[in-house]
Amino acid sequence: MNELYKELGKDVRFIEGLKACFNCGVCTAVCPAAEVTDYDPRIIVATVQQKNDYEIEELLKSDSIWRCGECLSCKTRCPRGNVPGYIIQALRALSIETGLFTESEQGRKQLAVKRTVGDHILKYGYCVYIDEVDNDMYPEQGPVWKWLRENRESMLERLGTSYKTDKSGTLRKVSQESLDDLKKIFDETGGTKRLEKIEKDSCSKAKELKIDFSEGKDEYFKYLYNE
Amino acid sequence: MNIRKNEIWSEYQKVIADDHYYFGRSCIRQNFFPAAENLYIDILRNALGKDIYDDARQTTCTGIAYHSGLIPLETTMTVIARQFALMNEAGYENFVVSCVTSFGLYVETLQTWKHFPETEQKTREALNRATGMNFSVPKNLVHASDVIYKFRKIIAEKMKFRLVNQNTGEPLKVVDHIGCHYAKIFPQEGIGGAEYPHVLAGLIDEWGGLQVDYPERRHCCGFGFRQYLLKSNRGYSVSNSKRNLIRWKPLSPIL
Ligand code: SF4
Ligand code: SF4
Repeated sequence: MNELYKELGKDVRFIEGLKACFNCGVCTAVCPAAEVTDYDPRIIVATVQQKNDYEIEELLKSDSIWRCGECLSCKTRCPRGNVPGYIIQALRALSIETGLFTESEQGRKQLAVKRTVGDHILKYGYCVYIDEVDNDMYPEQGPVWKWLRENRESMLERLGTSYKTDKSGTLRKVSQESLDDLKKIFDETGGTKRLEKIEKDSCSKAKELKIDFSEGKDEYFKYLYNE
Repeated sequence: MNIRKNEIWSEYQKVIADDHYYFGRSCIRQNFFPAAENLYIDILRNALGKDIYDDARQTTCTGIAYHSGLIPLETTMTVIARQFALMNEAGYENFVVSCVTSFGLYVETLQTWKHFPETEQKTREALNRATGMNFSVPKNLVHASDVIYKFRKIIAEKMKFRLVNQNTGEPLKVVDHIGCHYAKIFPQEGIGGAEYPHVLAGLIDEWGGLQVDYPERRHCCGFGFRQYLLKSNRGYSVSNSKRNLIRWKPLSPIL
């Protein structure tokens, strides 16, 4: 009984995020995700505080927990000191832990997030790196970005950066020693396990959906990223 | 005593170290504004005569991945602990964070350790097992803009151009927009708090411009982390940003 609720209760973000919600809706009023989708943080908080595992499981399988933009505007404004954004963090972690993230369209997209920022961290030492931000992936960056990228060797030198060099400074190459430290930290703290779990469960889901799954920007990635 | 609404910001002040900073770089600023951080370091070193250390060994804080629901909190806290260890090794105590999201996450890590001390202990052990490193927390942790705010009067004395129309002498109209994670998570950590952040508005005032207020001044820009990272979800970000741009237009701002 209440196994999922108990699991959530082990997460310090859940402990911090859920005091007692009286359903005022202030969080929804200020929420940028609620403005552009049918997401409603008030309903999420009201649902989890009922401690009903069936309802929590429905949330873990839903698109809604993936709609939040983590701006934390709700933290400032909740009159009861709840933080819907923190509750969402705990629900997302549990959704991946339980494998239920593949049950929703939005949850499945975590594979595309993993294969971009997740992999970039361990490859470059940065969440985002100019070599990977092309106009196919980010067309809204427009022609100036396209030109800057195409001429990045010379432009970044003119701007005084350390692009791909071993010295300190902007866009420097992160040393192998630092990358190794990151990998060891990921191994030690559950980061590697989390990323591997996303790959493994996504592989099963892709088979079920009959979409080609291998690695990198495969068909499944393209489907998740674009549609 | 009643305090006037536009002076509420003065209730929220914070300690900002005077010199000797360890600089924490930003993934987003390095890529999309590649000259910005060097300019910042140049102002601190050469205009203000301050000591700021730029470390080749630091990495991302993992913030974008963390706020996209990808990385466990334990991983993020341990990566941040490694940055603190690097700061200690370099002989510094004051951490200046370039990125607003990183700043929020560094503060959140320190607050988590304060309220759940067992998480600090676990982080120490994990960092040591992974890298052999140990760390002390910074004596002072601020965002890069806080330092500019602290020295705004000295910068005003040195600046070549004030925020004034050279032809008419009128102040230039300026809108500001503060990254959500600067003060919405921990209002006491931002100059002016969450409702009346003064860290940029104070620069406009000091440098001769005119602040222009607008209804969505405290609203999120819509970055949304995973929402922006996925092309399928990017309408979230574009819609929220467009709303702000539409609101600014009739105000004819310069920024
Ligand atoms: S603002 Fe707080 S109390 Fe009101 S609905 Fe949201 S979480 Fe509940
Ligand atoms: S953190 Fe999430 S729930 Fe809270 S206001 Fe931002 S988008 Fe909405």
